[in-house]
Amino acid sequence: MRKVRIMTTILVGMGIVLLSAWTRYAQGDEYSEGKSLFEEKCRICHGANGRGDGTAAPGLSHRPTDFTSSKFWQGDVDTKITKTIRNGHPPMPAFRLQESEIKALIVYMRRSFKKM
Amino acid sequence: MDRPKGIEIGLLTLFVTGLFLLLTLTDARAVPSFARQTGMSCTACHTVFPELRYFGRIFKLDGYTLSTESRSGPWHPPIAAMIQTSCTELENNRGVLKNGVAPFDDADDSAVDKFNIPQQASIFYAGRIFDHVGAFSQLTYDGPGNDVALDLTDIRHSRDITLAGKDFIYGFTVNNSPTVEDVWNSTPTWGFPYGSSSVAPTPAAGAVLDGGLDQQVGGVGAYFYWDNLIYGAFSFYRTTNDGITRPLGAGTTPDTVTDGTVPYGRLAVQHQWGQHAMELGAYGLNADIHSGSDGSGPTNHFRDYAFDVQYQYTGMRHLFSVQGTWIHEKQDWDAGFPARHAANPSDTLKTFKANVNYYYEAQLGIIGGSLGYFSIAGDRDRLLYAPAPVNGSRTGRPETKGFILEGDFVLKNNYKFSLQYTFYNKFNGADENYDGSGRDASDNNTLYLLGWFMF
Repeated sequence: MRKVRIMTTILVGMGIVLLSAWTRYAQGDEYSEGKSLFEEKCRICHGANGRGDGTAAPGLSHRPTDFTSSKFWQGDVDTKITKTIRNGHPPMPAFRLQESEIKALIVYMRRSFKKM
Repeated sequence: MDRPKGIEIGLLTLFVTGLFLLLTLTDARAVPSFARQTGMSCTACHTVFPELRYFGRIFKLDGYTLSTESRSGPWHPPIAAMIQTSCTELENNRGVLKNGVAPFDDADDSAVDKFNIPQQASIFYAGRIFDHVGAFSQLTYDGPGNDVALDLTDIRHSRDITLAGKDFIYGFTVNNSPTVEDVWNSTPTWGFPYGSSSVAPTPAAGAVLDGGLDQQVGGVGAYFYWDNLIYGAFSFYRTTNDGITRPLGAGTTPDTVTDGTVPYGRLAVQHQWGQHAMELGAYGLNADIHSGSDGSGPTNHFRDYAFDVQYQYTGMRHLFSVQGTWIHEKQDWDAGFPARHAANPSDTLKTFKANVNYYYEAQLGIIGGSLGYFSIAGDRDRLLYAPAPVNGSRTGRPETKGFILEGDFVLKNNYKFSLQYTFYNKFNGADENYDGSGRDASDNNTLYLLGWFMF
C-alpha cells in the first residue's frame, strides 16, 4: 500500500512536472510568436520597449500608446487590444491578424510591458 | 492641319483616361501595393508623391516590409502600375518637336513627338517579399523610346535593433542607381522635378552623380539609421554591361560603361520634431568610365561630391518643403584629352538645384505647386561642348540656368495632374544663339502638361 502511495505520488509529481513543462513550453511558444509579431508589426511605432517611442513615432500625428503605462492595463485590456488591432486607431491602421496571432501578441505584451 | 489633330488626340486620350480612372477606381488605397500592404493611405508615407514624409522614410529604411496582413493569410503579390501621359510645347519649336503622338504614329519619330501617350507605363513589384526582405522594382515601357527596360530597382534586407539604448535600423540594398536608395527628396534620383518632358531639349552637361549612372550600373550596399539622427550608406557599383550585375540593367543598352567598382557614400544628419523635419547631408562617388560607349577604350575619371539639405513641414492641411543640392564634379579626361574628345586634360562641373513646395490638403484633393531653380556651370571646353543645332554650344561653355514653375493637383491620392513651365536664362553657355545655329535659350522654354496615374 505504501509502495502504491509512493508510486502514485511519484507519478502525480512527474505529471505535474510534465504538465508544467508542457505549459511553459506552450506559453513560451506563444510568447515567442507574440514577440516576433511585435517586432515585425508594432515595434516600428511603439518601440522595442513598448513605450510608444519607435523609430517612426516622431513623424506621427499622435504619439503611439505607451504599453508600460499602468493606465493602459486598466479594464478589459484583452478586448481593448483586440479591437484596436482589428479596427485600427488613427494613425494606426487596422491589422488583419488571426485570433491566435492577436492572442500571442497580448501574451507577449502582458509579460513584457505590464508592470507588476 | 497636323497640329489640331495631334492636340485633339492628346486631349481626348487624357480626358478618357482621367474619366475612366474617376469612374472605376473609388478606393485609391486599395490599388498601390504599398498602401494595400500597410492598410494605410498613400499620404501616410507621401506629402505629394513621390515626396516622402518621415513615416515613408522609415518604411523604406525598414525594407518596405511593414505589413498589416496576417502571416497565415493569403499572399497578395505586391503589384502596382503607373501611367504617365504628357504633352510638351516649346517656346520656339522651329521644327524641334513634331505634332505627332508617340508611340502611335511613325515610331522612328516618336522621340520628338509632342504628345506622349504614354510617356511612361510601369509595372511595379513594390512591397514585402518575405520576413525582412522587400523591394521596389519598376519595369517601364518608354513611349518616346518605344522600348521596355528595368527601371529603378531597390531590393532591401533590413533589421531594427536597439543600439546604445536607441533604435538602430540597418540593412543591405541591391539597386541599380546611385541615390535610388536614399530617403530624402534632395538627392538626384528622387529630386525635383519629379516629372519632366522626355522630348524637350536638355542641357549638354550633367554630372555623373546627377543621374548619369541610372540603370548603367548595379551594386550592393549597406546602410544604417540611428536614433532619429544619423543616416549612413555605402555601396559598390559595377557596370550592367556584363557579369553578375547585368540583370539590373535589363533592357537598357549601357552607353556609360564603368571600369571596375564605383564606390558611393552617403552621410546625413536629420531630426524630426513635431511636424518639422530637417536634414543636412553629403554624398559622392568615384568612377572610371570607358571612353567608348560600348565599354571599349581607355577610361576617363570622375570624382563627384555633393551636399544636400531638406526641410519639411507636414501640418494637418498645409504641407511645405524645401530641398536643395550642390554637386561638384572633377573630370579627368585621361582618355578623352589625348583622343581630342576634350579640349582640356581636366574640367570641373558644378550643379546646383533648389526648390520650394507648398500644398494644401482640401476635401477634393491636394492642390499646390513648386518653384525650382537650377544651375549648371563649369570650365569652358570647346570639344566637349561643340557647336551643333539645338543640343550644341557656340561658346564651349556648359552653363545652363533657369527656373521651373509647377502647379499640381492630386486627386484621390493617386492621380496627379501637373502643369509645368521651365524658363531658361542660359542654355549650353549663352542666352542668345547658344548653339551657333541661331537658337536662343528662351526658345527652349518648355510648357509641359503631365497626367500621372498610379494604380
